[in-house]
Amino acid sequence: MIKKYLITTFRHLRRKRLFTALNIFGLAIGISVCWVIYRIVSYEYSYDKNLVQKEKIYRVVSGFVFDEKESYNGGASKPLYQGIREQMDGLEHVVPVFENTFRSVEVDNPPGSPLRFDDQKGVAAIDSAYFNFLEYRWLSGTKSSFLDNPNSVVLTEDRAKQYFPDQAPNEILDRTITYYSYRDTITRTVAGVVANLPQPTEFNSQEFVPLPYIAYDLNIWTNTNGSDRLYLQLDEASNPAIIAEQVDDIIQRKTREWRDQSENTFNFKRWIELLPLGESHFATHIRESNIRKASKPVLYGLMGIALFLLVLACINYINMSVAGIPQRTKEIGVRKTLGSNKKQLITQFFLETLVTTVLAGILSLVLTKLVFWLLKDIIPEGITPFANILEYIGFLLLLSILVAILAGLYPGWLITRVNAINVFRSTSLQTKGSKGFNLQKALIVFQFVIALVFITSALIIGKQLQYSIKSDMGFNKDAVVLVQVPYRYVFEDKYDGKQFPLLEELKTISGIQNVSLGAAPLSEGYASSAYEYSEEGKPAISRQVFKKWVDTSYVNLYNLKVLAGRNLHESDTPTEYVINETAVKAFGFASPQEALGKFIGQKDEKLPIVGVVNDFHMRDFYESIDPMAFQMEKSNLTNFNIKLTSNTDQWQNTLSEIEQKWYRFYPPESFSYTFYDESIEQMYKQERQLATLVNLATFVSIFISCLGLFGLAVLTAFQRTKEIGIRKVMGASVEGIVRLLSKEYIVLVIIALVFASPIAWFAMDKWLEKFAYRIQIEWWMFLLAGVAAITIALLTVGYQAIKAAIANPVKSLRTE
Amino acid sequence: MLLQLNNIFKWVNSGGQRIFLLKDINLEVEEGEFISIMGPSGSGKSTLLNVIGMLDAFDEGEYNFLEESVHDLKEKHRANLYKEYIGFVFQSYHLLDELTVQENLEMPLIYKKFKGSERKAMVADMLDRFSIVGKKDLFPAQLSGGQQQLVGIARALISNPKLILADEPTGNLNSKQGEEIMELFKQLNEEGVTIIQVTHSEKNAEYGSRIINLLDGRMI
Repeated sequence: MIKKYLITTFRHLRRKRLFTALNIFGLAIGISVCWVIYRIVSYEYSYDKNLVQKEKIYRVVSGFVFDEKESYNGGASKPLYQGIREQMDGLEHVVPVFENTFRSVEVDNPPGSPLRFDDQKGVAAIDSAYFNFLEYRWLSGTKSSFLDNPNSVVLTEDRAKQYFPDQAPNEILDRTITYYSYRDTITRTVAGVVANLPQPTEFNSQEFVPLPYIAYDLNIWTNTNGSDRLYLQLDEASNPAIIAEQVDDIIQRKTREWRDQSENTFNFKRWIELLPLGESHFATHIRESNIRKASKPVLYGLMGIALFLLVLACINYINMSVAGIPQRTKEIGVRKTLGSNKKQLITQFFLETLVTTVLAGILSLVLTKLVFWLLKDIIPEGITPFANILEYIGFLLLLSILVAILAGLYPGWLITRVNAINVFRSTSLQTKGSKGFNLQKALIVFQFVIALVFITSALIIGKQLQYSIKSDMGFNKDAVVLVQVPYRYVFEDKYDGKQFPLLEELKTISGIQNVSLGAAPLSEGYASSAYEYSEEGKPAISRQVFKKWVDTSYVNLYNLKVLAGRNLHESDTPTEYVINETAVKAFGFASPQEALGKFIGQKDEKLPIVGVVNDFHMRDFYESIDPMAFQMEKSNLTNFNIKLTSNTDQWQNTLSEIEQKWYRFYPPESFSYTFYDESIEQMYKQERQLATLVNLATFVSIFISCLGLFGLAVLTAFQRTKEIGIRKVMGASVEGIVRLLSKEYIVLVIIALVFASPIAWFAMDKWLEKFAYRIQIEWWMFLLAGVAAITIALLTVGYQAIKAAIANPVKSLRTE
Repeated sequence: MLLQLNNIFKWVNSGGQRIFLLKDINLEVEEGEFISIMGPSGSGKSTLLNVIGMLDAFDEGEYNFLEESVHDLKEKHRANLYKEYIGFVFQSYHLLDELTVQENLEMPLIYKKFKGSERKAMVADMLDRFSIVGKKDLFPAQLSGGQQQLVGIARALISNPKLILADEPTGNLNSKQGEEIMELFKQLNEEGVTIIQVTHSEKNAEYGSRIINLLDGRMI
């Protein structure tokens, strides 16, 4: 019986090639996107999922209020772990993980010369608690040999392979590695190799060194560094809220103690929070560079996109099946008269749906790879399209059944309602309600609502991105190339001060219009301090001021306008400030002129203001412009700003000239340049990823919707052949018929626009809210989206409409 | 003379063979004639009617309609010609199901670019003439076959055509309804409308002034 069903199903699908293809293609796209998103979401939620007692583990993070601005730091003061151990109960483990960075690492490699690795990350100082807390498998060496020797190091398997290629964990023991930091050099002996923890995990350190017990000074309690992480595993009975309170209490006590001792009046507030380990991966409000974060709203967005696209594909299937029923009434009628019951008809139909979905699943094997390639910038490393083929098959089966139910139920039900007698009446095969607003049309409207929301969002996100990157930032960034002296050379005596003779050399290159040393106006890194201004008889005004170290040609190079006073004068150490307009207002000066000659700065090191420049953006468009002070300090000038001449053809030559000069002062591997406008674009990585995602969603949703629309147009044109014939005989022109057939779809798109616009407006308004500088949402954006959708819809149905309109009416009106 | 067919041939190629649908048709129709085309199934009656109605093309020969050479005309002119002078009546009425009687009558006028007020007057006139005023808001499905065909004829007449082409207008009707329709045709013909009908029935053919017999695409 099943075999019979299958054979008829395949024959049917083959006969309706076009619709089968449209259905399979639409579903395959939906399934592929769903699968890829499922892979991403399940990856992000699988962080440290194997950890026993994960729900008892918390991370200690610090919150701050500076200048009435709240911020979070993923670290805790170094001595805090000692305080907790000494003063608190109810904790299973107190685990400090203090990450260190090294300028370079040298691995002994007899008989050859040592292997050198620069800027190594993932070296953590830990104590005995760490290996009790996390269960590592020791491939060689022991925990005790590691802890007994203060100059030992334990490597993970991955790191061991990097340092000692082709050597077994046993052979590596007692080999030496030398770590060069900015301050000292330590040679360590390998005490063991451990297997990597199951991925993905937040505990991603690759090298472990013993954390010595240090009796910290009181002032260290006030330092918080994001790389000093602290984890707590609570006892069964402990209440996290109470533990958090107790930890906070320790910090507050120490802060008070320190305040009493020192004379610093700098006002800040700090508190401690316990972050559940499960939340740590999603804590995007804590900026960290060592740990990958995932944003929950983004994941929810992704899941929403997956769901919507799948629903779109299902809608296509429903629409095409429903629209196809009139053509199948004869088949159904014959089946019914020959004794088929409802159940058998529905089984037949479900089987069709299931076969279609399974075929779509097979096609999506290919499409998934395509989607992975399209989203390669967004998909986190470590996710492969098909890690486990069984999982894919399971996913596919589940989805097929879901789709079969979702997409097959309604048409299946309709099929059973076909009245056998009506089928054999030759007159009037037209479906009822082709004029009214039926389910098919409602579904098409729904599809276009989704497509339009995506189109509008893509438009607005694109516009905001362009605005963030292209709009006037208060300085001229055109043709500027940045070259950074690598951080590791800055403090090396050998290279001390080399940037100045290099600067002179660069000035001689003809392709360079201007060159300046100093931090780029808009950059990710920044430094700020609280500066004070005190007028006699009034309380001092204290403001957080961004410090920028620049030289004298900087203002000129970036086309900054000096509104009052003068540019900085050359000097080795700060002697004066040039501030921006915002700083003028922040300190309460009536005008830029008024600010000249006033002294601001940290206590006891106040300097005069000698000039005021226009406001310019120092950070991305999420942040408003803050008070800023230019100052000159030669030792802080490590970044070359090079303005090229406007002759773009020459740029390549100029760049290679710069490179040649560079090599006379710095080692070869140290040269790399970025065009400033490109590096500003890089700052909006997340937004560009969002744009990529929304663009893809837009494309896919339009594409799927159009597949459905196309199918429906084909069927409608078929159903209306008689009507079209009559109208033509009565004198309708081809244009008239095309208009008649297309009008309906345009009305549907317009209805969709009415629904989509407020949704898109609401979502985009929420998104834009986060930007301090943002575009206005304007009515023409919705109009443009609508026009785009209508154009696409017209192109889709136009061919069918024209084909139907130019057909010879004699054929369609022939009476059988 | 209303129209003239000279040596009209129409064929299709099937399996390397040329099958003639119309073979050397010569026909002259004067204004005011009432012609019945007869013949067995597949003899080419409907094809001939469609050629006369300019809905279908022919492969060879000349067709003159009111001094215009139809065979030389472009598609668009041809369409304008039949729009203006020819009305069609079908066996299965071919009314639009989703339009009311009134709207069905109005439809061809819209395509002929009549103004709204004119259309209203013409439709009212036609409803009156065929005594179907009371049915103007009904849909075709709510009418009997005879009534539907009445509407079909009214629709064909509404823009005052010179020629009415009717393809088995009584084919789907019972004998009494059929008789009424034929009486109507006769009356119209007496009022000056030229009529060409295709029919199977000898009795209906009698209403005409001339009978043309077709067999295998040839006039006999």
